Amino acid sequence: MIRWSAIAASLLAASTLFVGCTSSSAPTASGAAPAGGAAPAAGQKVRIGVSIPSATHGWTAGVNWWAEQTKALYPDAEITIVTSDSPSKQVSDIEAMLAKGVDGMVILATESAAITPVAKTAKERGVYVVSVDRGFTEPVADIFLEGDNIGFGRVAAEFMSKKLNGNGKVIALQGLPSTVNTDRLNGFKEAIKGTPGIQIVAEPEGGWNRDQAYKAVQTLLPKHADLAAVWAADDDMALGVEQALKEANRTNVWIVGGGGMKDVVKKVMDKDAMFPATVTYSPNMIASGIHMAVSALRDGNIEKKRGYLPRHMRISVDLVTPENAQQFYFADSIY
Amino acid sequence: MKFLKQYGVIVAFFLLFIVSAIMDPGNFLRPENLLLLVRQNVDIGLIAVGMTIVIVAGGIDLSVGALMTLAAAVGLTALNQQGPAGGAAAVAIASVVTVGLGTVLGLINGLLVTLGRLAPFVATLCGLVAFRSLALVIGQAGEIRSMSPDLFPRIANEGINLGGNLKLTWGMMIFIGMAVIAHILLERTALGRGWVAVGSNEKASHYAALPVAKLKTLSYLFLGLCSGLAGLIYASRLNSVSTNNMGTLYELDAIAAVVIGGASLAGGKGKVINTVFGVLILALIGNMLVLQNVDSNWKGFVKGAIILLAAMVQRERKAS
Repeated sequence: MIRWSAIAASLLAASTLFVGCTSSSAPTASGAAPAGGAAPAAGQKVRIGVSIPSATHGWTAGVNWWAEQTKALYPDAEITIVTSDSPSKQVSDIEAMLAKGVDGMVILATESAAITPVAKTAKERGVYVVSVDRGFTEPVADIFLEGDNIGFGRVAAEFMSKKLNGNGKVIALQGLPSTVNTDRLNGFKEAIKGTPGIQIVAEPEGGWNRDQAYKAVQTLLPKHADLAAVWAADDDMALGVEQALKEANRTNVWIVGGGGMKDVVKKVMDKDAMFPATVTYSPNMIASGIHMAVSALRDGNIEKKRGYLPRHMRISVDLVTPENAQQFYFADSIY
Repeated sequence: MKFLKQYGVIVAFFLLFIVSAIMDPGNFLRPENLLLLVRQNVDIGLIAVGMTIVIVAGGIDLSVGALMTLAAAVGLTALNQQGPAGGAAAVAIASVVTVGLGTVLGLINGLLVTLGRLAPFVATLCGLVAFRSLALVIGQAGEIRSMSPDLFPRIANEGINLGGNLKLTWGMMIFIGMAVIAHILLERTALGRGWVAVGSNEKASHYAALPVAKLKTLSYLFLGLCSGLAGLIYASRLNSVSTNNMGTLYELDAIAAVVIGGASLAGGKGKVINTVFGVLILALIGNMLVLQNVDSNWKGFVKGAIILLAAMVQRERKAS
């Protein structure tokens, strides 16, 4: 056991040194740290592991960026960020971090069910677990900061029904088949059902990316000469839609996307007629999660603090309009 | 019978075309839609044309999608370094850098396979992950935007007006031009005969004093050039490079097009014209799936089934 913890400690020291070499505002190495278990002893740095999906599209790139920003914000905590491109990779990455020793874990799960067992293991070892965006299938998280994908579709649909005065043809542009996509699309469709005058004429796939969205809408435009608006399940895709509409001289058609991409928020703020509104689903939720883990764990007293913190919070999906866009605009974010 | 064996893919394409036309004549047969079939697939098409040469010469390249992304990411960075007022010179620099870097990366792939004596699958698999990673570093895993709002997008989006909404874009012309060049190289030159010989039987080619390593390297270099052009056109189409998702799985679509075109993955056999029709078949399937509003979860199944059919139409007879 002694040897294992020695290895873990030296790995940790090495990784801290590595971080020290690559980032300019680096904390100094803190010496050996005990492996496993929450609540670090006084004077020691809080060790937080952050496990997030790899940057495969704009939104996840945003999650990565916010995680790095938060790390820089807390130089007194030892924050390790690891990105994984699949659920199985995420499980092994979290296992590796547990082996190395962390006091808290902030997890944005690639898939809920697949990550639950390893989150449970973490919990059993006394690690403080914060789950962001997608929950686990069992209540293992100390704090669950939930993103609302159904609301993402619903809020957009409500706005569109109103702006269309209850009548018109729309395209619902979806992402890749996945839980997130299904929730958003169903949320949208359910809410649209309440307005029978609005017809969803097509539900093409935009693959969460600009190019595919551009091509899908480009193909559909000649077919639907009386199209009124397009809903896109993500802002990356909304930009592709904009380009297809502009090229076809169909700028009377407007778009509602969502996700909090700064360019789209800017367009809303500047009263761009093609972007009357958007909805939030900001990747900065990872920053909130890390912040909670750090503040819960630093200077001990975790048991007492538990009583001060909620177990479950849902992040509201806000409608962004020209009037309130300023507060959702982060000029130096990459997303 | 001989025609069907050699050009079965063309027959398959026209069959699919007729079926599509009957299913949805109003939308499918619009000239605008038919032009889109080519325009939306110029990048895959360019890569597939180059891939045909590599596969005929007995190789394979999995790195193309990442390669075009890296080339375009560096190209756009070069464009932006000229500043917002860079004008035509900046666009020229970006184009040369993108296509040039694509070609150099292709050359590296070729040298890894020949001088490095690595299996093509392995060498280019490393490229697939490594090139992407470098692109992510350059773009901080996000998007690189061009600072040329009007001029740079013209490469992919402008061209010769054919009247109305119809346009033969420069991108389409580059694709057609490269397909013709590849066709002539493969069918009419000593270089092409060399590629076929190396792909059919590498050892015999070696004993016949053919410059095997040089021929193979050149095939990857040519594909690198095609991928660089594809990267340039993609970047110009969206006037940006999304380092995290540009060109993902392009290698598989390109290889699928080559295989639908009847080339043998064992090397030595394949025609550029057939690959072009392979690309068109994939394009047509994609187009119909969107127009017919097929449930997106079922799309892959439909696509797989149609590719399978196209491949079966023209498979080799079993030797009796």
